Amino acid sequence: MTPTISGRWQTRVATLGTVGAIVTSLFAAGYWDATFFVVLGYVAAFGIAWDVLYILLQRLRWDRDWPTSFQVANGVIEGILVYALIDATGLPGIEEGSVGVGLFVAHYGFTWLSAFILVQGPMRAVFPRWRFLGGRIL
Amino acid sequence: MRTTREGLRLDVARRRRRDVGLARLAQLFVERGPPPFLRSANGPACTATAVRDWLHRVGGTTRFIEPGRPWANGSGESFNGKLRDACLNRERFDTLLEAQILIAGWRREDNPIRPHRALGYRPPAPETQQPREPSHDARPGDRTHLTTGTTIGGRSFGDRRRVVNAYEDHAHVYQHLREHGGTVILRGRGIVASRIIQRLWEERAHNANIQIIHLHRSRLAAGHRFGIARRPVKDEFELQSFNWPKGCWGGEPRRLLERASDERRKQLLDVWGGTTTARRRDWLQMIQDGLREGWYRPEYGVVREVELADDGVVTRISSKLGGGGTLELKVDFVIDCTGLIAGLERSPLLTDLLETYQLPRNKLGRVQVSNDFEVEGMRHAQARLYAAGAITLGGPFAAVDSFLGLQFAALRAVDSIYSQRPAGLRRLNGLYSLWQWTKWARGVSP
Repeated sequence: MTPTISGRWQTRVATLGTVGAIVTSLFAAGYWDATFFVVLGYVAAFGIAWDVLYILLQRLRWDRDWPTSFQVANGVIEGILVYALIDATGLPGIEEGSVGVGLFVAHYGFTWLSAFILVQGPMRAVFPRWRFLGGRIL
Repeated sequence: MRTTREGLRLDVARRRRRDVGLARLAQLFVERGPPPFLRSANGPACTATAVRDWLHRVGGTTRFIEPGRPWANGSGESFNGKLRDACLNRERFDTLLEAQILIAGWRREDNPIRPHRALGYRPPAPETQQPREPSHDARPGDRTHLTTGTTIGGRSFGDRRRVVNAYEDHAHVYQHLREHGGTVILRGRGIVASRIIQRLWEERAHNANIQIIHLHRSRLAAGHRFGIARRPVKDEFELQSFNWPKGCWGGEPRRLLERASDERRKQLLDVWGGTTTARRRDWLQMIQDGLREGWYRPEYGVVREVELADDGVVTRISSKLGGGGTLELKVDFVIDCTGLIAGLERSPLLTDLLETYQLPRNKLGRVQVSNDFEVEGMRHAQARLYAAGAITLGGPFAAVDSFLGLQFAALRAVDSIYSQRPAGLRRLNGLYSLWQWTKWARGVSP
């Protein structure tokens, strides 16, 4: 991937807002708990902040790209940070220690994986200009 | 006085009628304003007193040319000549209606298309082409995609046995080296040089007495710099996966280039391009092994003389290192890997197109295109010419001769055509794209 900052933001919001939301609603319906949506919201919000850091790091790369291995690493780091904050201090809307690590890993893992898969291929078919616009959809 | 050379009306009738002619003229005056002069063939219908009176009433300053001086009506006579040559003599009119339709059609097509010398080989009224009736069968010439590629060629040398171009067949070199061993001078730092080193390395498995001298003009101190990033260098090779940074296909560099001026584009392409090779672990290892084992070494200098000897080539280089003396290298072969020369000049189609229509070139000498990949100098009414591929290098996109680059240029052209809202064309949307993809996946034609 060779994203631009607006491309990163748009792709993140678009993937989490579609397949991410579908996965989350399955969890929310299964456990009858709306907290999953709050978690998804935090993942998206923190991610938008992370993207700023990523785009700066990307400038150090001659190819101005962001390889797949980096994307995987991003997913792990972002997940750990969100869980650490929920577990250690709690976030507005989520009580401290109310989310079990196993359930968080399952929800976050499936959400992230579905978004990741979407970016690896289907986005190119549905948005033929997406890859040329650095991940921008609009 | 400036004339537009535009044919405004051609009326076809079995006999000329004064009132009909007047009505037609009146309509033209309303549409285009009365002309300062009216030149005529001085035929009876036009010189009729009624016409003259009427002209004086509607356009106070409109005057006839003097009767009996057809040479004063050069452009009109020329128009009649062209009409005869290009239309009347080529068509057979069976009915009056047919004649009216064909001649009117010729006039409509002639104005926007036929170039006039007096107008700098431009058509008189490219903007007047009538919108065609909505139709799904696209007519050739409406929108054309020009993707010829450039014609490339290598340097050629007097002796093709001892001094060879890496892009041409030189299997005899390896044959000879395998049997007799020998020393090779290699020129160039690109991916072809890497591949030739690999080829020689393969031969070394059969004959260990093969030496490589890699001749460089100067030392490569550091890689190109772009922003805070630097292109990595390893053993005198600049390393880059493709011939442009990956971001040139769709990232920040792509956008930067698209928004840059012509001059800036050239600078950016100089920074991103240049001679590079791929970062392949085996290639890097070969160089390391060669340096350590002594069968590969770099030399620095500018070639002054290449002289054929009975059993090899003598190359004299003026060495920049070590006091600037001349270094004489006697080797068995020289393999030139410094690249191919690409240009538009070798293509008769492109040179003719560029010269006839006086089309501008970009800073790299290729065809100037807009950000939509349109060759804007060829625009006539609805007709558009779009280009793609290597002939557009130096324009809005760097990797024009890659598959994705061609795809990008095509997308831009299609979107540009759509923005003109032609009948029967929809914007390429996500669902349709996905549907087409499923066809591709199933091996069904689109």
